[in-house]
Amino acid sequence: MTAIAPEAAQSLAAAVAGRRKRTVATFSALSAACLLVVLLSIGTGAVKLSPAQVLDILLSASGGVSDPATAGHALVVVNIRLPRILVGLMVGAALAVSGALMQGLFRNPLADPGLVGVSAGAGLAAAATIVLGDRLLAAGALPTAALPGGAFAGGLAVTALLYGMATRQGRTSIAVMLLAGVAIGALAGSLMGLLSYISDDRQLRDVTFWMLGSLGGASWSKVTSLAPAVLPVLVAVPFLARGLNALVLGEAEAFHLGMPVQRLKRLCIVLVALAVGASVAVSGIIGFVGIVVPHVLRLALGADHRVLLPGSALLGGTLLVGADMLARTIVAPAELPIGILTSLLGAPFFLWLLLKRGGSFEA
Amino acid sequence: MTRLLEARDLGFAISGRTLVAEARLTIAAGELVVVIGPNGAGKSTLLRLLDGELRPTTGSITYGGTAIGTLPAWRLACKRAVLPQASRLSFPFTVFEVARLGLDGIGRALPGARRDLIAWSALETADVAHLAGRAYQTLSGGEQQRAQFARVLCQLEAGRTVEAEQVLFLDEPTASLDLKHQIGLLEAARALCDTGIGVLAILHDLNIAAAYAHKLVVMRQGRVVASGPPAAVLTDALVREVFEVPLSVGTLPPPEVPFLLPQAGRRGAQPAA
Repeated sequence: MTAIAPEAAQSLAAAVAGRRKRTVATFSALSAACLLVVLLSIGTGAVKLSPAQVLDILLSASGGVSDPATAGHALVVVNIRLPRILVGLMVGAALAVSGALMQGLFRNPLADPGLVGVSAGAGLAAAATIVLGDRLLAAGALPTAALPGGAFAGGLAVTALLYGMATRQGRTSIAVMLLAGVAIGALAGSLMGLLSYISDDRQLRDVTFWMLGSLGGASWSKVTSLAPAVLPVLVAVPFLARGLNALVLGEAEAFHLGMPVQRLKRLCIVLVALAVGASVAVSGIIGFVGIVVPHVLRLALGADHRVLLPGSALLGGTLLVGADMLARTIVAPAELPIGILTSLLGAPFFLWLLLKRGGSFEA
Repeated sequence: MTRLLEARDLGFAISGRTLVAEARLTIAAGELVVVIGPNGAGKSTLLRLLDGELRPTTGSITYGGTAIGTLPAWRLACKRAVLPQASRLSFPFTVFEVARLGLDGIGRALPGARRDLIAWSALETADVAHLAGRAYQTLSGGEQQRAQFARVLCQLEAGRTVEAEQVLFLDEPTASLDLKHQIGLLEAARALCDTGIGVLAILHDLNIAAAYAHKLVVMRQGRVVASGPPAAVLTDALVREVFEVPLSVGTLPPPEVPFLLPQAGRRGAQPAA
């Protein structure tokens, strides 16, 4: 191979170093923003606390508190606010990373768990649990695990169906999966409409509120039910990132580079089903996080999945906790469903991005 | 000469149509094999069989005596690299990032500085170093092809730390390149041959093929109909029968028609090996 001209090597080194510096700066900013939003969010609500007070309570939580007023605050923080924020962080991270995974898998920047019907499938199963559960169970009261269990099963069922339909002779056709996902999403939507038609007033209210998405019911038990579904996705990120980077070139090219393509695709699908199913079960359908977050990060940091996936987890969590804080305060003492807020802000933002970026989506 | 790759009685059929039948082919160390033939002759299918992407319905493929089916994907990636016809990316990777993809899989064990160095010299060889920071999607077709060539060079370099015997597949590598880069790419391929790598390329330009190939393999209707050194293979009868054009080899056009031949710039078409 020819020797490199020194000035070319220098400009290359500068370009590479510049990109790395930018990555470090962006991650520092994201982490700082995440911490700030968490502190502010813990302090926001009927009992107002300053970030300093919040820090004080969090740091002394294990040591025991003597002052009765502070003890009351600590109770609010530990039992009500903290689990809600942890749920927000995990759901936001799960949705954003699932979005980035789906986009990498489909090699399409517009893919999203909402798009291929995974969210809709989980939603339909949960709505069916609410509406039909009462009629099937004579006792009337549903067991508390029925809703999350139903949503999770629905998400997995759709993913398995999609994968089964799109896989022929060991190869998964992304086009078939995308089209089938759109059809399944539409079907699930109409079945949900049918369910709300036959439901009584109380059920209709339950289904509607749940479909709009909310972190309202967060508790420590939800934190512990969410963690086993979300953490495996984050653990698998390094392997997934390398594979998805190669997959950007195409399936054949990823195989040429030595990637176990079929195993990678299967793992992506299962992890997305797990993360989205668990998220929908805990907080209902929250749209646009999975599509906006990876997109913004791609603009800022480029498309390398080794940066994009952890960045999506961080920004997704931050964004959802921030949106939840807004949802709790703008119509206080009532709460706006967070799904309304994310769609209300996310959809126009996304349209603006599309207009600004124009033809760059056509690869 | 060491046989890097050997294919015997290779056949491939899909939904009742036979695309490749009874193909027999070897690639030796340091050899540039060029596959020629009309559209639909099965050239690309043959390449996809040899690189492991498709499983043959009949026959066998061995890399240095090892059956291809027993090699895991990463191991195969150390033994062969593939330059596809054209690659589109759906995400804004830079040229440098595209080249580095050749190292991120099998070259993961190499230290970071070494990987950067390999990527840079590959970009230089492919003449895209000046585009390193540009988004791949904004490049012309020819520039994209050269960026992909840099990626493939990176993969070969990374694979060489594990495997001594390597094969490079080029699927119509010159289709979108200008004359300078067509010649540049084939010169680079011949330079790789000089280091012991075996190269198999699909080409449409018979003049380029004749100038650079050590061995020509002619395909027609899924079968290998001729194989050997260019001077022996390229005959009037073969060109007429396979390509269905009444051209004769080695005949000059009338004096008023200008013509350019890539051979004019080359020192002898025959391999040193």
